[in-house]
Amino acid sequence: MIAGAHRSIANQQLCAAADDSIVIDYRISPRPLGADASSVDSAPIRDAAAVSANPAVRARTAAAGRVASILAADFPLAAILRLNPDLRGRPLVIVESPRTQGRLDAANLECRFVSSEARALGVRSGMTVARARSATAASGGVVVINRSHAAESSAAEAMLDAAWSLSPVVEAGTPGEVAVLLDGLGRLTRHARRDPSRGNGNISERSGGGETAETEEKLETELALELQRRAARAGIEVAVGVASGKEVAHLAARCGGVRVIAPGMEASFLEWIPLDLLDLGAKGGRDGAEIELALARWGIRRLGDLARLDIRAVGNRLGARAVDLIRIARGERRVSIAARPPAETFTETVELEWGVENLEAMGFVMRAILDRLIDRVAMRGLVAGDLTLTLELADHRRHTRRVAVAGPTNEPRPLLALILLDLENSPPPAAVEAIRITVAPRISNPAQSDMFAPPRPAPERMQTVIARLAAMYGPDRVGTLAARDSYFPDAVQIGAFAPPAASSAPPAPNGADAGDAINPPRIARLTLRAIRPPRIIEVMCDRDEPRYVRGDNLGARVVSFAGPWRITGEWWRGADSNDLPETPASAPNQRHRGCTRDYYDLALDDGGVYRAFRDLAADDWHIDGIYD
Amino acid sequence: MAASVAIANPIPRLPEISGVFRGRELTRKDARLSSGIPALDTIIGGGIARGRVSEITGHPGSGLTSLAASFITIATRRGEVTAWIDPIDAFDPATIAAAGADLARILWVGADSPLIDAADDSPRFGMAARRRKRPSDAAIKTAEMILAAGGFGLVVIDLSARLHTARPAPLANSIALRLARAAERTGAVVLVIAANPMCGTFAVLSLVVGRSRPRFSRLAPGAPVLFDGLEVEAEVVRNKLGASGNRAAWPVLVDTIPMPRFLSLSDASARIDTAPDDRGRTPFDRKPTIVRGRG
Repeated sequence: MIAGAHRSIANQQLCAAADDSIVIDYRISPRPLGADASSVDSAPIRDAAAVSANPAVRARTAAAGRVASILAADFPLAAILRLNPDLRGRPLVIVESPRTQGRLDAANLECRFVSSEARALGVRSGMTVARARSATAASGGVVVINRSHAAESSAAEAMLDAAWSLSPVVEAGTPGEVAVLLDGLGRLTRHARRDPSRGNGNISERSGGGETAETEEKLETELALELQRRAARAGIEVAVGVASGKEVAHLAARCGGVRVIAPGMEASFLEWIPLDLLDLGAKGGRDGAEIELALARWGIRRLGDLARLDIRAVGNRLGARAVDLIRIARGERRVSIAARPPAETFTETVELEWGVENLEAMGFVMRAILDRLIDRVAMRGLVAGDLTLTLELADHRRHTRRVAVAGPTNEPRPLLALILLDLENSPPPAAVEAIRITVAPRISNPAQSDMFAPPRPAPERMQTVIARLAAMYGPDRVGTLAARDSYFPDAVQIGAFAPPAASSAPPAPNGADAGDAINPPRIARLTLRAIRPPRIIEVMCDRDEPRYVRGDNLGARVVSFAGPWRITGEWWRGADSNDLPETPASAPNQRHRGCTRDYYDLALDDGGVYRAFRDLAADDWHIDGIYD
Repeated sequence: MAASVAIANPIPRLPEISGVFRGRELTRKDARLSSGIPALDTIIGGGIARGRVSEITGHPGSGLTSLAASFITIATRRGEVTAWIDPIDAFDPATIAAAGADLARILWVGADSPLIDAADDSPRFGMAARRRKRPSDAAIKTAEMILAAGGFGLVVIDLSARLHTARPAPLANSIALRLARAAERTGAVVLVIAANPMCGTFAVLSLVVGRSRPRFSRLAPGAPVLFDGLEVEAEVVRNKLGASGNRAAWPVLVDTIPMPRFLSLSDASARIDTAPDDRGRTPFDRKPTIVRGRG
């Protein structure tokens, strides 16, 4: 009976709320609808009251700071448009088909997401594709694309990168939504100007103690615009809202464009915001749907109406979630951002509608992927290093390979050439249906020129050149060539080229007369011109002394020689050793698995002095260099 | 006589503050990179010119690589960043490092004439008929890319042919001109080593290294024979910035550790006695020979 009385009062209030001109007292009975007062858990109410009463909590919530919310409307559409920029401006609908490859048999599928262009032609979400096509037949039809979760994942990461490029405190919300803490970012904007009071050219932020609220708002507007620009650079059109608190900023972003809500103006902004923008039905789950229904029955359509309700009474009736809603509507709820550490790798994935078997076509797709990846890497102030290429194949296998990048660079062309070179050497065994490229970024190494040292190449330009050369000749053909720690004098290894600073002392060479930078060595040292791989020759000996040498384009008498010097070692290297010549000695059935060589310096009558060795196990001769 | 004076008072070795006067340095014709070999520096006017293309020609085994290594040793020990373009994979890091070069400052590029696509008509992950660039073209292209990055003090381009193969054709004038302009823009020393002149009129210095004479010795009768090094002879056949026709000879040694005593061991090819003289000096201890030419 009592509950029925409450219901009648509520109905009267709902009827009255239909007329906006009537001021109504929205205070309703603390007793929930259809329930006894004793059964209500009053803890949320007590908590809510405590928030407003406790000054420490108030201070903490105020310290949540100014937050920008970046929002990409219709995120699945935005992700597809990011991959296919040529579809911008065309009517587009997204469907969800279980079939990811080949032609979409989409006539009976439901349009899940509809672009504004398609909406203008009468297409609505929930229509079948056949109906959407018939509705747009007169205007040239509609483009139907299957939803791509891989594209959405890449787009979400790109949005995060755009945010991380500006602020270190970033929270990833639902896909297409990112919250950024703006506190302390004033120095990043163009408002950083010279402070005339300091006089020595120091750059100071204008947001000092006596700054006006107008300047602060201008600063935040500029930051919001910068966020929008960076997201656009990442290929996504977003709206940005700035306010004191995540929820209010999110609602500001939901209004579109760039909207800055000044501190203290939250209530006036929220006054006319429709309740629908909270997406209670979609985000709040079952409770949210019930609350939405109840509020609709009460005639609550705007947040201003909700803010005027008694928080205790609504909490008793609808629970803690409703309390949160009222606090949001009043602009009082301020939740700190749950910052996520910046990603350490950058990944882009593209799902192909048809399997690709051609390297050129793959190169075309990968170029676009690399462009996007490098934009993201550069936005974070990094340079692209080693790459990991993952290919999803038509036979449901996954093909992963790592492509080493000799010189980190942000130029896509050499990176693409490296990938293609690698693919060309070992092509995937089946058609490729999805391509994923992961970049391990490296920190760019800016260098300050030393006035008293010789000039050096700018690190970025040098790395770019190294990357291009590596793409031309292979990563193992560019770098620092050094002798490998080996028993054999012809063993070399390639390393990354990283010249030390000019001030560091060069390594002391072997020999007594090493000299230094000012007093160079007085005696010239003889160097060797290597012959790689060692060339097999035929040597005629007389009493174990070489007398005549014959080989490919070589035939000369030995006029003098020194040696032999025997080198034995690396017996642990088996038949698969790459740096030793293939000899019967390396066969598994041989007892002698190592390499034993007798080295000679042979002066031939053609004028050259050659370094030659006799492989004792194979009993053949090689020359591996000429003293030059 | 003048030569001996030059040797007695070698090039003044003052610390260079290249960073301060770099702008001026680029335009100065006398900015040179020394080889550290007094005899050679004397005949080429103190070193090879910066911002120009110089070339050293000679047969494999005549001492070309040792000469280039001398220049790169000086450059790297000054702290300069250098590059060695090596199409035939002949760079031997062990002996170059033993010569005193700082390998960490040498960018090695095995510019082995990359494959160039002619067409792609293969259906699947294959490339169609392809052709190779000439090694010299690839090396010059590589040098241009390196020079374009700026900041390299010396770029050595090894255009020598593989052992006992046909000599490469000289560079086309347009290519040599491009190389010379790239060197001039960046102020780097570009040193081309080859079996025959490659850059024609665009090389400011052309040094020809003649047949070298190998030296062998032994420490005691019956002791193993040791290869000591080469006696290198070079002649300036072209020098736009100084005198040409000068010749010099100097020893290039495998090991600079002085031997306690040499025993005579005649060289079969050159028949040069390496025995010590009355003062106990070997030919390598004596002053190098310098012959003045015209200019």
